[in-house]
Amino acid sequence: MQEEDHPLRKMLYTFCLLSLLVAISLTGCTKEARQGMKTEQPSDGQLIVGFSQMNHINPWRVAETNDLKREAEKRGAILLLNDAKSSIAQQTIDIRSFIEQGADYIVCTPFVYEGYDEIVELCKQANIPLIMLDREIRGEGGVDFLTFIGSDFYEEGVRAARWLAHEMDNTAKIVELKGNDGSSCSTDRKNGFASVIDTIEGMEIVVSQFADFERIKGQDVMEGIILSYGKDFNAVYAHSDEMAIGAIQALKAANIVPNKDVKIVSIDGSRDAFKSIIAGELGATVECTPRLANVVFNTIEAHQRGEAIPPKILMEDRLFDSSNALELFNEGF
Amino acid sequence: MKDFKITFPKNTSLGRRIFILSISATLASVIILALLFGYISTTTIKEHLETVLITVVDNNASEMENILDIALKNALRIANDPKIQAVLRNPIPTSISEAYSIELEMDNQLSFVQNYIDNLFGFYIIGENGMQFKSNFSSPIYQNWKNFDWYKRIIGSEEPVWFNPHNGSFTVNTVGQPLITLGLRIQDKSTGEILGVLLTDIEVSTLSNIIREGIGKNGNFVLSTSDGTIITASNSPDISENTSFSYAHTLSSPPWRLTGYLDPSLIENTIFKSVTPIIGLTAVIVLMVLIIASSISKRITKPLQELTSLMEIVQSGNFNVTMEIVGDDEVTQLSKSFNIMVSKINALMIDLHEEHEKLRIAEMKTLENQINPHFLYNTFDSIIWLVRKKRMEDVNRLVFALSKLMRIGLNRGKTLVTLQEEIEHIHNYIIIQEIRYADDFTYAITLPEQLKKNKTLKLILQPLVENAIMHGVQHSQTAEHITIEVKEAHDGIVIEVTNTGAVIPEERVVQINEMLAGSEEGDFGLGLKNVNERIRLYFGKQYGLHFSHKNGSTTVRVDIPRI
Repeated sequence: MQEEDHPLRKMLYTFCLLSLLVAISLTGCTKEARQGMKTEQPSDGQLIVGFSQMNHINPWRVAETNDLKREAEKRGAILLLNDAKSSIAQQTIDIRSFIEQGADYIVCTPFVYEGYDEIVELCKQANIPLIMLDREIRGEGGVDFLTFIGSDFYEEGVRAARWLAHEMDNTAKIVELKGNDGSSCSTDRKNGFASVIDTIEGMEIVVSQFADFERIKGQDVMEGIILSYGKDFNAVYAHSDEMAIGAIQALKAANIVPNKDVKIVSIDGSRDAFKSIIAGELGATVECTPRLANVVFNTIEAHQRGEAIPPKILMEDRLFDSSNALELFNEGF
Repeated sequence: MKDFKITFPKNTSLGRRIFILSISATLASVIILALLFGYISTTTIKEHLETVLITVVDNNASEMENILDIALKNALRIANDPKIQAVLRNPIPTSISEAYSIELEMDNQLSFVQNYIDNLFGFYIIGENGMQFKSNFSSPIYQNWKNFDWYKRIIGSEEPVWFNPHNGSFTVNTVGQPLITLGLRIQDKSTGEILGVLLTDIEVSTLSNIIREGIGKNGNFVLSTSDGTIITASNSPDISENTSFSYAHTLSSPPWRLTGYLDPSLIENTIFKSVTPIIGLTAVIVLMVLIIASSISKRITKPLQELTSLMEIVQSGNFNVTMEIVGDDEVTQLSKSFNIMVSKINALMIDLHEEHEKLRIAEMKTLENQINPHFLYNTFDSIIWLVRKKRMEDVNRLVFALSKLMRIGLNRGKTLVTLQEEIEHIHNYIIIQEIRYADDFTYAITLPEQLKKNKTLKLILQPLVENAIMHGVQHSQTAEHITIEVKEAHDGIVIEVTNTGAVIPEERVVQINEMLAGSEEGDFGLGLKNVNERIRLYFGKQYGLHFSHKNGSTTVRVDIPRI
């Protein structure tokens, strides 16, 4: 019987060999395309800043991003940039990716006031300083994040209200166009404005609606207000220039002469706002500069030197109206 | 066609042959089947994947065409819009405030157009009169654009101009994302005068999103312009360098090409996935065949092997074996035949043994006869008698013949002797009897020279001569004659012993001959019967004794073979 084993074994070998050949021919040429992260390895000492921009759906944010890009280039730093398309989830992904890519600092423009705990925790665990830019979140500078850099939205509202009170001789029926619900700038701008109006008897807000900082929305909302409330108002306070410009088109379409029948004040200081002031349509705009990059990088460098960083760094903003718009046209973004 | 023949080494056992044959037949067919299936499934999968690729490419291309077509149609609509034409036809208002007011209004109008179109980044109008409109929020850049290449190119072309991807818009501030731009010159509908240009921006990411979903990681889609510049690719572009299947679709306008490449590993993986179970199945079948073939070959060869070992036992001389009979197949038939054969051989062997024993006994009897004490007594009596008569010469002859007779009779136990020796022996016997019976008979012996060396059974003639003397000479009053003649016959040797004297009746001759032929039992001379039996046992039944009588003499004929 032992002799019988020989052909059997031979057959088995042959079969194994055959199947092996087939397997090799099928798999052998499979190439595993490696898709590594395209990480640019920076030379030592080069500063890497991750910038999570919430979106680019208005010129203010485009200007903010371009300013940061310019400043980073000027200072020889690497700016990792991503547009989160208005999604906190995407911002979390982006920031995680920045951490993996070895960012030294992370700059984040928060979309809303609440909901950034995960990102704060992420940066804390990675021991990477987080700078909140242009909008605030719940939490404290110096504790939850390094600092907040931006404008004083409350003060902007206050200044807009003061300008309007002065222009309208303390008597006005005001339509308010708010930004997006839940954002710190919209809330602060509303509260700052209200803090002044509330002290003046002749001034009241008749309608207050959200228009998401967008021009088309501003126009739509204003058209709706005119349809439902009529023309019984003589002032418009918009939380952004874009909404104000949209609203002006709606007023013009309803045969309301801007700046004459209705005084309009807004916040931001965009180039289109300057044009509108020059065109005699927008009354004034309170500056909220998107040019924060200089301060951002100064703060980072100070922090790197070990200097104490204040929990809030506020920009000094100006006010533009017909008296200085033409002259300061190029200051608009 | 050539005959296909498998040759095995001579010492290959039957079991192994069956095993190899069945295994190779099954293996061959299984492998052929597997290869055939592999080939068919490979081609089918390939064709299927290619069809999928073509469909996806065509669908994506038509989606892109749709976006580009909508961009073009709306651009044409805006360029021919009477209100816009009117604004551009007039010179720029001297009042900057009026100019800006118009611009903001026109911006608004454009933004409404854009608002109803998905996938467009923006429309921009640069007027020859210096006015600038835009459809989106982007902040405008104020500059004299008339010396820029793109501006001149658009102005100089009657047809719409598609620009290759570039980072950031030409005339507004953007974050520098890649854009493709459609340029169109605005021509006064009434005068044909060129009023300015219309730019339409589409983000490259809009097109990338279409092809990104394309075919996943298993392929690459590349959108390239007519000059080969890659606008966007869905995956790592190195896939296109592979010798993979590709399909290109040229868009209607602009004539850009969308090319789809299939990752070769996708085809391989898909094929592998579908072929793996077949390989597994083949392996299982082959394994089963191995087991079955070995058990079948064992089952077939086991009885054969038993038969072989039994044969070997038989070969060694033991006939007391029987094959166990189970079932009713060819091997069983063989086993039955084997059993019959062995039992027959066994019977034959027993017969042979018995015959041999008989021969031995007959020989012994002959010897006993020869040294019969009665014969010796008579002979010695004759010697005494001759001595008394002082016939010393006869005594001498007699004793000499007796001694010779004894010597040849014993002859060292040999069964066969030459005819010469046998004749010499009978001659001595006759001499003894001649002296004893005085001159009662005469004799003659003839032995041809050429037969002297031939062999015969020993001691076959003595009983015949004894018989001739007893019946022919003893009872006769006259002198009788005995002849012994050896002759050649056509197929053997004949020895005839003839005596004159007493005649045997005819019916007695017939009876004796029948007894000698073995067909009838009966009583006659013990010595003759013994001789006949010995010859027939030793040489065969056609030989033996035969009686006849003629002219008053009796002849016993002995037939033996010539050896």
